[in-house]
Amino acid sequence: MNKIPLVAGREFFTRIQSRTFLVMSLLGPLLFGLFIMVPVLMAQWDNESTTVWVHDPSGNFDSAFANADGLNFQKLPQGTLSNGPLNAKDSANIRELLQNSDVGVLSLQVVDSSWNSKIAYFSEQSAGLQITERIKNAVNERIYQMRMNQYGLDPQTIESLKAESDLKAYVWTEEGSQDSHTEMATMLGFGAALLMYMFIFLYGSMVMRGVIEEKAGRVMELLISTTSPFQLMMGKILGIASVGLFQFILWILLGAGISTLIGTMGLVESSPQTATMGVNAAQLPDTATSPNWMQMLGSMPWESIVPLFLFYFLGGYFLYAALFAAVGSAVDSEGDSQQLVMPISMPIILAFIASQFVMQNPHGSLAFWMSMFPLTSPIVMVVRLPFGVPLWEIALSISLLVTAFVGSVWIAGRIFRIGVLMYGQKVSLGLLRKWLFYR
Amino acid sequence: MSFLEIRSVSKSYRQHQALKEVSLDIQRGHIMGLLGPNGAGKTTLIRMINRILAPDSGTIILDGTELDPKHSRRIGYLPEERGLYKKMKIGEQLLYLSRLRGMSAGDSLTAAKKWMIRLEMQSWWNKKAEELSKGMQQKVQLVASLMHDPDLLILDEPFSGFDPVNAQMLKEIILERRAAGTTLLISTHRMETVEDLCSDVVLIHKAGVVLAGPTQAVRRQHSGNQIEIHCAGDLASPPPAPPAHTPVNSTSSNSLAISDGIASESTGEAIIRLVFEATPSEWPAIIEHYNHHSRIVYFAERLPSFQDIFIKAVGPNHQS
Repeated sequence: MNKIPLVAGREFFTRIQSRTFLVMSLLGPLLFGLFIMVPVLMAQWDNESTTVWVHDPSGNFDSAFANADGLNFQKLPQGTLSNGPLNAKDSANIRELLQNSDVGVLSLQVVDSSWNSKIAYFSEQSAGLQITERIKNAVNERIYQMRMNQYGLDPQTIESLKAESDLKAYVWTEEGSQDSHTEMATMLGFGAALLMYMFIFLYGSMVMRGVIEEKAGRVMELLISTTSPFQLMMGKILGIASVGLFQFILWILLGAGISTLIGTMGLVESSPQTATMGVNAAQLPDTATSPNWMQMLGSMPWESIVPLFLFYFLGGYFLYAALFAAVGSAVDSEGDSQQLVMPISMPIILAFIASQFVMQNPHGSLAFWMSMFPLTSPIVMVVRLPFGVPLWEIALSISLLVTAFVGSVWIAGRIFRIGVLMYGQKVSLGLLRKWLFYR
Repeated sequence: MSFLEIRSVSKSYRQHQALKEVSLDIQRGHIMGLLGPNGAGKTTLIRMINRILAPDSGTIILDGTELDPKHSRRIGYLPEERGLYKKMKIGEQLLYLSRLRGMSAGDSLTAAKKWMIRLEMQSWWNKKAEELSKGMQQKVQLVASLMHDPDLLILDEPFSGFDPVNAQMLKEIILERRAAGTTLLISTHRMETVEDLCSDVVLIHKAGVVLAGPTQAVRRQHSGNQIEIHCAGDLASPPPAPPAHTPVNSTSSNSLAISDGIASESTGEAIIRLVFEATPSEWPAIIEHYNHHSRIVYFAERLPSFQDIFIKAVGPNHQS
């Protein structure tokens, strides 16, 4: 008799009725929203400003610095620091200046006739990249202007010489060329990979904890006297997959609700990047592309992407959930599981890190091999899919994933069978190997 | 034909043989007591009957057919390691466990209600297991083993953890199940359970069956041919010992209650209790001797307790 639906049903209903599920379903989108909103709000509320004392004996850089975005440039009174290279007395003076909080000292020494300069910045705490980059860019811009003047060049002419070509990438198919929507594909692929990664970790480890709970609570013996270990494991994996999908759907609905709400409240007028990076909005690439946003969404090959996404989503989850179940069956408590979870987590983390590079080069050999290897393919392939992947590669990757899935269920089933009855064993990978080939 | 037949079953773990060529028969409607020191292989045997473990060799036949997954519906099991889902409501756990046994949703609801009323736990339906005491949880587990009305009921140390009231209730249920035709296998360390309840007994030691059979027959087999005689007489001049026999143990008392309920005080006589070791053929001579010299008020063959049989079979110094 097939008891998988019964086991899966219990997993699903007891979990979605639990308080944790309710809390996480409500908090999930809120936390997500907070992650996005907090930097925005913090940037808006950030009134802290740093005073930068500029020591410029040459006087060339008077006009170079603009007071904006928390940096307040002040000319250091003549004679505070020596005009030549800084000496011991200067060091003492700088230290004294830095006694006040939020103060930096910038020293500019022109070393030759083409204004090549030694720039030094002193501060109490190590200066952030934002400050150093701004100062460096401002100084370089000023030197550039002075050099143009030196050679009698008109800045406007030079500006007009700069080319502003834009590249549009197309994919050549049988039907003719198509817009390749690189940005759209990148976002879509990365989003899917992130979801995949979260899904495997959240719900895979839920399978593991469920098995540990049954084992530690000693219900296991009763369960396997009525149900085969394989059915028990599969029921658990399927039940928790349904919990995960259900929770994701809730999150999407709630998230959509919250973002509409925020949208109507007008809180996202300035996009997070604009606020945090402090750059001019006109320089952002997505403002140029946003008018085509809806059009691009419509032109993605959804009918082939969505089923494949779902396949990799479930395939990857099943593969890992079976392994997590095996780990859960082998240990007595969650604390013991850490060292066995490590080898399972490594490929997922690796795949997620690699997906950043895969996005930049979706058809390279790293992308190819990692989208074939079953332990990484669920994440890496979903990154590649929106860029278009040859059919034979998809077919090969799918068959490898299915094979690996069957293999992992077989392995996990064997370990599970022995593991669930073992208590008080110090479990190592070596011992698991023995269980695998145990009669 | 036996209801449960275990045919030369062996099972070994890595370096350790848990069961070696074990054969055992339980008749339909009998209560078999499964005895043995810790680590003898009892749990392994029980797990094999429950299909949790597979034997390395040998077969187990239930009601004429070799064990298969369908038998789960006909077996009830109370494991020694008691466990429930801590956070799940009692009612839901019972429904889940009985449905895993193959009951329909409707039948398991009826059965759960029936048993919860019978065991006076109606109010527990919406309680979580973690809110119940250990003894209460054990009652829930007992119900889980009974709900689907199994033909074979396996109880592993069923009395441990129960107070006297619940123990009495459990005893009644066991006898009631037996009357209804259920076959029972009870693993226990409590010898009084065996003497009270079990029609048959099997003792497993060092992976093999050491002794087996109907409870009374086993006791008789292990009797040291001892008889006990109570004579009425005067303590100052006890009856002489019969020729060729000296009592193994003799006590005398003014107030010894004897089995037929006549206390010595009512007659003003003293009762002398004598124990002899003698083969049954010698018994008539001894009886005649005391009939001649005194008046016999009690005579019985002395059967060993299972405590004695167990210790003799296993040895007092066994390693557990």
